[in-house]
Amino acid sequence: MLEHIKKHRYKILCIAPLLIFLLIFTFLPIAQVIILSFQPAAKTDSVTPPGSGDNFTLAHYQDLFFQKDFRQAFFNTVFIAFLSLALELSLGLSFALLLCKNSKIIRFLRPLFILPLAIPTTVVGVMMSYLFTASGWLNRIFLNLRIIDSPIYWMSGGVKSLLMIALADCWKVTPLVMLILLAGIQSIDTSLYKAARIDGAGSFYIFKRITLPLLLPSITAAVIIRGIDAFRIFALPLILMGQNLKVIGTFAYLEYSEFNNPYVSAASAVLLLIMILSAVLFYIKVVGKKGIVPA
Amino acid sequence: MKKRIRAAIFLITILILILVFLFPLYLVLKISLSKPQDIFVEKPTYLIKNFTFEHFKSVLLSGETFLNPLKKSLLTGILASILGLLVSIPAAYSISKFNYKLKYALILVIFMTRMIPEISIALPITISFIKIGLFDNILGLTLAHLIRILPVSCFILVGVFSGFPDELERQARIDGASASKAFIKVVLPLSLGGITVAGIFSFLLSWDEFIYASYLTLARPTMPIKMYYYISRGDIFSSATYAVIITIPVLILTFALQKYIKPDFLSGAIKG
Repeated sequence: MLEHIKKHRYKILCIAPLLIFLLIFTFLPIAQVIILSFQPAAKTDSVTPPGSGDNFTLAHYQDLFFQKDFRQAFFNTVFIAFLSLALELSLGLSFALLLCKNSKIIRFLRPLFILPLAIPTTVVGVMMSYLFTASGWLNRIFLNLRIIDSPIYWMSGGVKSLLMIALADCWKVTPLVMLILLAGIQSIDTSLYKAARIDGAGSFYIFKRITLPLLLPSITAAVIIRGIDAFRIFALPLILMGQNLKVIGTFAYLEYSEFNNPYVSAASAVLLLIMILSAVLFYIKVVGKKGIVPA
Repeated sequence: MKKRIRAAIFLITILILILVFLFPLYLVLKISLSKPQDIFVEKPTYLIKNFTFEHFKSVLLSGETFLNPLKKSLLTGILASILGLLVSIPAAYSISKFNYKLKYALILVIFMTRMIPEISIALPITISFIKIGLFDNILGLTLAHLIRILPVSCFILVGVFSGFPDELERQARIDGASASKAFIKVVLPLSLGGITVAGIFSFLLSWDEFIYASYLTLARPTMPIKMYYYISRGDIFSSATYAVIITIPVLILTFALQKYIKPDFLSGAIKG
């Protein structure tokens, strides 16, 4: 063992700063936030430094479960995550199939589809707020095209607002899903298609029996990468809906910054962490370990 | 003939899709360049009828209101990408030299940190930073941004160094260079392209960061926080202008790096 360390001395020395940083700024804060969520609230205004108290309480978690706001935020988070994931996967797959040919024009146009990926999320939020307000552009276009008779109040809360946030997220993220799936499609051996054609298979049959199964690892990668981000969604709901519609992320933030309640905020952050971990574990269990890392 | 029509329909579909897809982007640009009478009417025009640079002028010439957030965003971004490279270059290099199993495990650990929601890190960090005086300042925000940056730049750099031919390095060692000298004189200069990409990515990750910035900011906002301030006040011209100003450098840098933005990049690290 000691010999081992001596032999790899340089490598260990090189990687040490990274590991120390991760320890202090990622793993330690996680421990702190867990401790904080079980810590009784301080009587004074100031927050006792995490870990210094020796008492233990479940009060903050109870507080959360009895709060209608939090239950709503929980529901919103899950709803938006599933909705946006479904939208992004179907749109991303359609785009990828549409753009997988390697002609000159497509190669020239592809960057335009990838463009939203480069737009900062906050800017996407601002953009979408122009689009979705009652007097906004989406209503104007729909009214112009006679799709609707009266403006839709996207920001009035409820399912409409959840759909709005999912769509906004979808706009930014579909290109990423498309890119992952595109790489998957292009790595499929074209001779398989030719063989199937010779055997008389139709386009849909080929898609179902060749493209989709071979694409599964890429889809898994997309779902995991995107699923994690979908649960963590923060900037879009905060910018578009603020206090009026919370997801767990914004709930935790507002609980701390607006209501000065770090304990409840910590408890909800811990729950979000658990949600993400269990979702990932569940997905890996169901689909298998293949393609956890895009390869 | 039939083939031609099909190709034309296909192309038109794609062009319409692009038009629909990119409309929101055009909207921001349009609002930032339009006079109020183009926007605050019952039926705002689709095209820019009354063109004006007024909003840009008023934002750019607003002095410290604009310059301070710009300075903070730029300084944080530059500091974070330099510190990020200083930590991740040696780390990524040694990860790329480990045996396959250990390499895979380390990359997985680094990848796992991306699963953790920022809010659960931001809260305890904010509380500690208030205690030690790193709240609402550039160094504190830089450290927070590094949490986001390091995994990504390590990923990129492990890919870069894994693709580096061992031969060259061995040659240098045979010629009498020490391990560190071979790294500095041979590996580093030849990997400069990949390192630049990692650095620019790091800058971009800091430039548009929002969560840590909103936890760690009180009086000195960054650019995205300043834009959020305007949008929550309902000032659509200032927010649109800020949106354009924030987006332009991102677009330029991203297009410069376009060929590197592939999911392969992430997997390059694993394939080795």
